Amino acid sequence: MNPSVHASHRGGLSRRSFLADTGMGVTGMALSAMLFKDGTAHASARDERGVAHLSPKAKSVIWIFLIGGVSQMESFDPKPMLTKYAGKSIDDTPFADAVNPERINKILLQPGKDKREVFKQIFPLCVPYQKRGQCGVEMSDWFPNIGGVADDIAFVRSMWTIDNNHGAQLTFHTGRKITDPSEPALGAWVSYGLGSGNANLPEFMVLGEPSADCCGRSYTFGPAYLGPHHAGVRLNVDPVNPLSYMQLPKGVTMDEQLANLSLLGKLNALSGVEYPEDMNLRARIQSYELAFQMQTAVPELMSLDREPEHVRQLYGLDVNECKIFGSQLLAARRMVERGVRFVQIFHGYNGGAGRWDNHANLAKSMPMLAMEVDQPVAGLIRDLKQRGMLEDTLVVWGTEFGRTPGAEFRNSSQGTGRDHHPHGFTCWLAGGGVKGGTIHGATDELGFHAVEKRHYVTDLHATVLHQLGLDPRRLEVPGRKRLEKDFGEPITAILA
Amino acid sequence: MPNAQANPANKKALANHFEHLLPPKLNECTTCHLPSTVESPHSLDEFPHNGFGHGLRKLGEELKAKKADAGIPARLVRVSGEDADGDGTDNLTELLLGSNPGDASQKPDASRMAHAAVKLAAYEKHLHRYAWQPFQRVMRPVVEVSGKRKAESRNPVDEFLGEAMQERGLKARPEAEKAILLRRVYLDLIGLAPTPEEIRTFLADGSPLAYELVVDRLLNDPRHGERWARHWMDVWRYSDWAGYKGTVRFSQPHIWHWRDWIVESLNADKGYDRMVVEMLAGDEAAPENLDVLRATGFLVRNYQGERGQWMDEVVEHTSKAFLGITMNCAKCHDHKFDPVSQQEYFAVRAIFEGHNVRTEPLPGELDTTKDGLVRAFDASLNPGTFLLERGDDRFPVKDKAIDPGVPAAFGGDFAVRMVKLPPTAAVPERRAYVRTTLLSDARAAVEKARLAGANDAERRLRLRASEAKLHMLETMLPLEEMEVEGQKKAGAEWKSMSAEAAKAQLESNVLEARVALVDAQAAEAAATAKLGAAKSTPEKNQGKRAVDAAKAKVASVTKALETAGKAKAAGAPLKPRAVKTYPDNSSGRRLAFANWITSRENPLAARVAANHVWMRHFGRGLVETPSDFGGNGRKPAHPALLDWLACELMENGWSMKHLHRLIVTSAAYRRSDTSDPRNAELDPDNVCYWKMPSRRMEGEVVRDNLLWISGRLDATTGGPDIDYTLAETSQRRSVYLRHAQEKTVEFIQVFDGPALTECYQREMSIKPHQALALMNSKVASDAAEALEAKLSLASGADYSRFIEEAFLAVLNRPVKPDEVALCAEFLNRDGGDVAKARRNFLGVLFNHNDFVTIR
Repeated sequence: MNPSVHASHRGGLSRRSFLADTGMGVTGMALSAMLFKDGTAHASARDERGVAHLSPKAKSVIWIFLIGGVSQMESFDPKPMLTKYAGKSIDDTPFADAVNPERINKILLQPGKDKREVFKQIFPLCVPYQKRGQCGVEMSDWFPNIGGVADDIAFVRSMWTIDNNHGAQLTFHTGRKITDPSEPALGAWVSYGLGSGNANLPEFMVLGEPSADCCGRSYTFGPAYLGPHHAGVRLNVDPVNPLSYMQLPKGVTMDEQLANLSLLGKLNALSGVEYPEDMNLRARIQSYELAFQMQTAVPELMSLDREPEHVRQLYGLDVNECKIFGSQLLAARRMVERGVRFVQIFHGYNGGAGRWDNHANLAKSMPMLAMEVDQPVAGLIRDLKQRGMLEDTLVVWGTEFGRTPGAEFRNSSQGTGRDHHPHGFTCWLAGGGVKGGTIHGATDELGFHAVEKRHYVTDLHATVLHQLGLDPRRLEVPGRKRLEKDFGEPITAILA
Repeated sequence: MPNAQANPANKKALANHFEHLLPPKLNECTTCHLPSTVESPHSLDEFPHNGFGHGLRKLGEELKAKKADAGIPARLVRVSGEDADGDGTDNLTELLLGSNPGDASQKPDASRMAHAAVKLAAYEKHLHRYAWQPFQRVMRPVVEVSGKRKAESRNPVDEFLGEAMQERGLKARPEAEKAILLRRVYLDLIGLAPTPEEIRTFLADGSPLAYELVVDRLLNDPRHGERWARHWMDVWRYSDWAGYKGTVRFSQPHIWHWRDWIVESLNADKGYDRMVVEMLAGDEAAPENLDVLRATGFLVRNYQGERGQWMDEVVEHTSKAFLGITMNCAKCHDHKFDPVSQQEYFAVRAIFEGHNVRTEPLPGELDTTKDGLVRAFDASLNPGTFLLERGDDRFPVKDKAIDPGVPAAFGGDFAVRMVKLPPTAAVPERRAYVRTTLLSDARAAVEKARLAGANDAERRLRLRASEAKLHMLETMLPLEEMEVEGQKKAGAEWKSMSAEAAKAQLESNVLEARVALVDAQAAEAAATAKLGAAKSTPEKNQGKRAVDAAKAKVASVTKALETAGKAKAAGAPLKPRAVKTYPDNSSGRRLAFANWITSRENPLAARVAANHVWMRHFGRGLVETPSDFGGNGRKPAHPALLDWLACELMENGWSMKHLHRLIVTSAAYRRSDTSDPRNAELDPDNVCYWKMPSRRMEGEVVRDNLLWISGRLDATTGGPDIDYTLAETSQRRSVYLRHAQEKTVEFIQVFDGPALTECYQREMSIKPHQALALMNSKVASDAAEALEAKLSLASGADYSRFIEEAFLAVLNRPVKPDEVALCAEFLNRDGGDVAKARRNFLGVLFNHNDFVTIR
């Protein structure tokens, strides 16, 4: 978004031009483009969909977020040294410098204030690992199916973040600490920057139960100052009732409803003259436009039973453990197919920090979680690929932080799990112009610190935006100062 | 020679005061003490103080003599500028840089002195953390008020905000249009829109105090309590019970009595301090007052089958709701951001350790499955609370029980006094109303038996049995009353009464047993018949089991009849009524806690409450994290304003209505919600409230107004929760609908209804789901239909009048000419059904942005 475009249109709307502009949209409701000060700028970004700033490589994003903090060493960054030095204190290994307090405190936002204990007694790897794919990436045996598509994936093993508690879930989506004033989540930026690829569905949709109250809740897909229209829209993956109140009231025909909504659009648009800057009004107008379309689009979208059996099996819908998450990923593919820009899917909700928060019994609890996601995620990548959709669909695997090399001795853990670990963890990307079979960055021998090609979470955001053809620095909103670190830098080394 | 020792409490206080700013080497006894001069020291006195320690001690004595705050933090602040060891560097600088302030041989060198300014600044910031500051007398800022500015400043709220606006060069928006303002204040104070008549009256009223009079009227309207009860039910986590069949979770049956208490207390403008006392310790503050006991529903709501989890929730939510502190973070370790140690967490838990819940009969209904007073009480007077190592239930530190207490950093007195309970508080079934109800129930039973007639032996038996029971109660209950009132069990009168009662009891028991036998025999016959008719094998097996059970019942009832007969023959003495007995003392811990929370010294309670009230008028709190005023929460936008509001609350008998009146009569509240480009650039988030933030109605308010505006709202107040599945057909206010785990109202949840676990703040999303709910739900279409009938009746065929009335009724403002044109065109489309077109039109207005928006 070019600030100068904003400026030239500020306050330039006359009542006459406003009235002349009504009558747009499927239901005759004038959409925001003509009503609001920044509308024109939006419209231009939207009209040249995907070519706003740079030439886009991807049209859509499927953003998978595992709630709680996935262990990097038991997933995509195995560390044999953990088994070698199991039971020893990190102090007694050649890697003692990893626990140098200065190194530990450096990245945390409140150095010195944070009293989180550093667990030094090394916890051995809980699962064997092996090389997967042509690229030979080493991966844990808990993710065999993802291993099968390793050559489509670029692994970033050098992520770090700034919060060693679960507020990091919010940080992962906004780049900011949970105590900061709210900033837009990545999906909201995408919605803001690109607009819709399908007028019948929201551009930003959310599946699964999101982060809980402790950890960012709806702010993890929230629009902040971009306005409520850019919030992610949640949908149930429930073929019987994907959306409440979808049936027209008794005695009202579709035509009547259309006529009603047309009048509604005109009346609301009149308010737009009085409240030209009211983002809520604009969001409400658009929500009606969408609601009308969704009445028919959503049941069609969510009829997963129309998918052939072999596709359903690909996502593991016939496997009990995989059924729920597999259905969500299949729904995500159908959304992307229909032009939805950004689908954010949460896995691991438990009302608190998340099920991937394996402080205790990691060897037992994590493989069960892995089982729920491994086949569906691999199935998604295979399915996108067989449809030729992987080229322009970017799939991202993310989590708020990794887990400690040391065994945790706290609460009920008693040395059976790993604690939170913001210093180094793995995320991965596939499709959407990403170079498959890439291993990028590295943590040290213990998996403690990201040491090579370190990336803060906003680098991941910048990469996503870059592939969508958006330059985060040009997504400026007048009057909103963003910090340097908010923008991040695209991880160009993993791009094709 | 042993090293110096120090009072561990003082050492801890020093560490607490400086927190992470105290270098570890100074967290030692030697910071204040010298090594002992005697060989084997026996007491602290044998470890002399160094200069620094001596200064602290002397100051402590002086302050105590003056009855001033002699706590370690207060003393440390006072001696910080002194130089106790005379080495030329003041105490504070030495402490922050890691040199012993009482030891002249230790002094920061030049390289360390270079950090002094940074450390001092950090300390200054640390000291002035808002949440822990005690209340000071808040001075209102002086803002010049003259001429036009007068409208911008109607009360001190505006002076605080005016100062902030002046600093940023913002210009306040003008007052909102009258109709908009009226609707705003109606929806905020009573949750229902003004009627067209009320709007016309207000628009025509040119008197200067017209608005203030409306405010007074609304605050005295009983619907105000219903509106604000829902807000406080969010904060206090109201939930009806959940669970399947026999299991009860998250709350208890009949908890709605607590909801009624909230509504009534708000309407009565009960002081907030008193409300806190009644909710946390109503059973100790007013043990015999049934109305007050309802308030302990706040505690009952936390009920869980698992005691540890129950305790966790009580501590967590009591501290979040009343103190804005996330004390739960200190269960496993000392709090990382706030001055609450793990020890203190368990001290707070100890306050609640002995309490439990019970259900007592209420006047008129003795069957507690049908109704009852569900309340908290201390089941155990001195239960042990033990620190759980790393918060783990499996590892209690059993060698030392933790006494009840409160986090020291918040100041104030926590004084526990045991409460002696009156006899009827310990034995609720001996209350007079229980006897009255027993008698009236027995009389009703006799009446019913009489109506059934006495044509056969069985009916005659039932009538006799009911009469005998009544006679028994009439003879024995007066004796019980005498006993409860403490009259002596002696004298001829007592003796003859007792003998008569005994006789009546024996007679009644025999007849009751005979009735039971008749019933059991009938049940056996029915079971046998059912077995005869059974066809399949499972049916037969089931039938056999039923017959066996019925036979066993007949046998046991027969035996009971024999026993009763023998007792009657033997003339057994009177057996007193079986009643449940509970402890006749209460620990007084919760009462002490409630008093501590609401004492003036506590810096948090009033601020947190005032912030909640402000947030619900302006859509955003002055502290944006209403349940976390601590280090992990947001800082206040206008701390002085919040403190002033908090002081106003306390100084006016903790009257919530006073606070509401202050807020809604301010110019800030009356401002228009229209924007201004320059302001929007300078203060895009409207931090200074230069315009009124528009808000969306909560789901309950949307539903209530659909009913209200269409003339269908059932004004009945109070009573049991209404099944959530009836939300589409019930016409009661939403506050009375069941709200529990897996039992929530869909329509309300679509509009970001309250979460069950906690809801200190509602979300305010705008999404297509809401549009669908207003377009397609039965609640909405019923509203359009009913309103069409009502308005058409009044306006007849005159469509322009219909349009005018419709706008006044639904959007509560006069229609504008542009709108008339559009609507007329819609209504006059050729052909068709006039009533249907009007219904559709009203449906459109209920979907208008101005309906769900509070401007």
